[in-house]
Amino acid sequence: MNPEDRELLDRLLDGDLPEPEEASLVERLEKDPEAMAWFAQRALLHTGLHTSLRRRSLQHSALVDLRHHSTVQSKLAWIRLGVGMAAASVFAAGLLWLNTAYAGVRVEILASRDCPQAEFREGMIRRLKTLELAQGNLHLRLPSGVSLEISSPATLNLLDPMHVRLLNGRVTADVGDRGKGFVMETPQARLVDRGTRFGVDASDPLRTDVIVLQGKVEVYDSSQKDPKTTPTVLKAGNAVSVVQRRVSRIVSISGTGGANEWSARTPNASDTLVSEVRDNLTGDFPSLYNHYRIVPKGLQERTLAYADRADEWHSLPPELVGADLIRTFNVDSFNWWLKVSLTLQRPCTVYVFAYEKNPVPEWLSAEFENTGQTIALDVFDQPASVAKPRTWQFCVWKKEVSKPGELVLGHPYADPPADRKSFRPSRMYGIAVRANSR
Amino acid sequence: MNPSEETQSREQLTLLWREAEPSIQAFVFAAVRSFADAEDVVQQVALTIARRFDEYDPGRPFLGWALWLAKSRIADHYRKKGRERLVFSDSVLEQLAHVFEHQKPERSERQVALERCIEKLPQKSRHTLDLRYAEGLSIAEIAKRVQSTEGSMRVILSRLRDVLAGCIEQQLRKEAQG
Repeated sequence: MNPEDRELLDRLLDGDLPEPEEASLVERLEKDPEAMAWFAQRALLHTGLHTSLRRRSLQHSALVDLRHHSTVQSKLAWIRLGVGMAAASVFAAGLLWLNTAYAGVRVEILASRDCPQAEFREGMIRRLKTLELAQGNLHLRLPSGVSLEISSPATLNLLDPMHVRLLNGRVTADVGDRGKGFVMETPQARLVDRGTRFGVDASDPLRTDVIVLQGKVEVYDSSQKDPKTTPTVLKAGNAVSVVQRRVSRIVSISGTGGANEWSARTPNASDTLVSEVRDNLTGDFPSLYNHYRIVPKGLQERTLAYADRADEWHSLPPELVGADLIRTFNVDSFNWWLKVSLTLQRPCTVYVFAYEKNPVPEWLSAEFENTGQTIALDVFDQPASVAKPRTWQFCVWKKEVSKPGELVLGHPYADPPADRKSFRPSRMYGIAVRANSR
Repeated sequence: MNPSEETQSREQLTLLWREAEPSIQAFVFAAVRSFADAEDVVQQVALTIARRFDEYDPGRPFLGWALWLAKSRIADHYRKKGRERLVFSDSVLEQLAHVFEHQKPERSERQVALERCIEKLPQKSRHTLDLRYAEGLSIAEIAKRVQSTEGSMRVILSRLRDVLAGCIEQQLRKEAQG
């Protein structure tokens, strides 16, 4: 075999030959046993290089990560290094992966609710390849530190401690620091976590809904397995559905505040005062994935105020306790033409909470009545666990709506600023709804 | 199967897989272009082998059986992709499997030798190989990254592989001579 032929066979392995040349080379390869033997030997080298260099690269990243941590966190970093090395060797050897897949993944059952299955009792430790939950809810932890809250009916394949396939059902994953890079696959999507909490609903095999509660998640459609493919990156407050490779914004989600208690499907009209929230942003901002969350009876002391922040409402006027809450999100860059539309199912009173230091927008003063009451917002600019909040007061405005239908709200600020530098964004308004007493 | 038989069967599978895995990997990586896809197919092969291990006839070579399963998983992979053509025909895959099945069983020694040979490479050569194999960049992307031409990168990568192949043979000869 001459050097040119060898170079062509190298290019064949690299996927670097144009189609006609490739076809003719493969034809020659078939007729030349010497070339076939050389090609097989080269393929072994090619694979050996990928295995070795990929493992070294993963180990290197883990070490760099370790060096960047303070001594306080060194224990955690060692664990990460261990996880990195383990991940590397799983990729490298394949054998460890096979063992894991064959024997199953060690699972610790943290809590079980309304679940009659004897194998899922709280405190049990089991090794599972497939988890089928017929009834109730399950909270479990994997050896990677990732915890999963699962709502029935659900079926999951546990491929390894960092990789789960959700065949159907609804799961909220809390990944934490150790589980960064955790992968969850569904029939429609592949989600790669970047250290976060997120929910996935794969009850419908033709559609996967994803909501990010904290941190960031990369969403690939199920056909994108090449790591070079650009994913859709979601952050806290984002929600999307993936249907046949298309990622689209979910505008409105309903459900109580519980981790798995959410749905992007429109609720029954009889069960709710507000069945849907929409806005006019999707068309103008195709990469905007923020959602509104309707929480029936959700306005309570110290409840989350927004879908994208950790701020909390408190010091509620008595008439607002137990009202349906709409968690809005903060839209500072594009809020002078914002229109938010509520679909109201029954006669009700709609409340809007507007920041007291902002000039009142014209639509609000024209259509709503100022109750003279206020509600307080604790503003967390940093994670709630480490920050001391600032407290802002919001004026409560209300409007009685006598018939079911659409109610349109406007933008949170009175006038566009003279320039961006002079603009100081505050917070988006809050919304609550109460049924009118008969 | 009682628990002790199951443990025995699992140990046997582990040993057989350890020996066969480099050839299976090379077979799949030769037929599937993207590293990520190839890794997925290897995982599918491993899972299929684990699931169907009770069908394996210990009187026949394990590698041949595993390569036969790998061939089906490669075909499944291209079928799922739909729009992509299968690079190798069934008969080419058959021939390639035959070559792997009859290679000398020294694969783990080769990998050890390769690790040593990589250590001996100059930093710049290691970097080029990292771009291709650790980052998974194409030739065109590597050329762009290092501000060179695709032609030069092909030649450089081909020569580096020749150097490593020569180094591996030398290491194996040394080992054989004790």
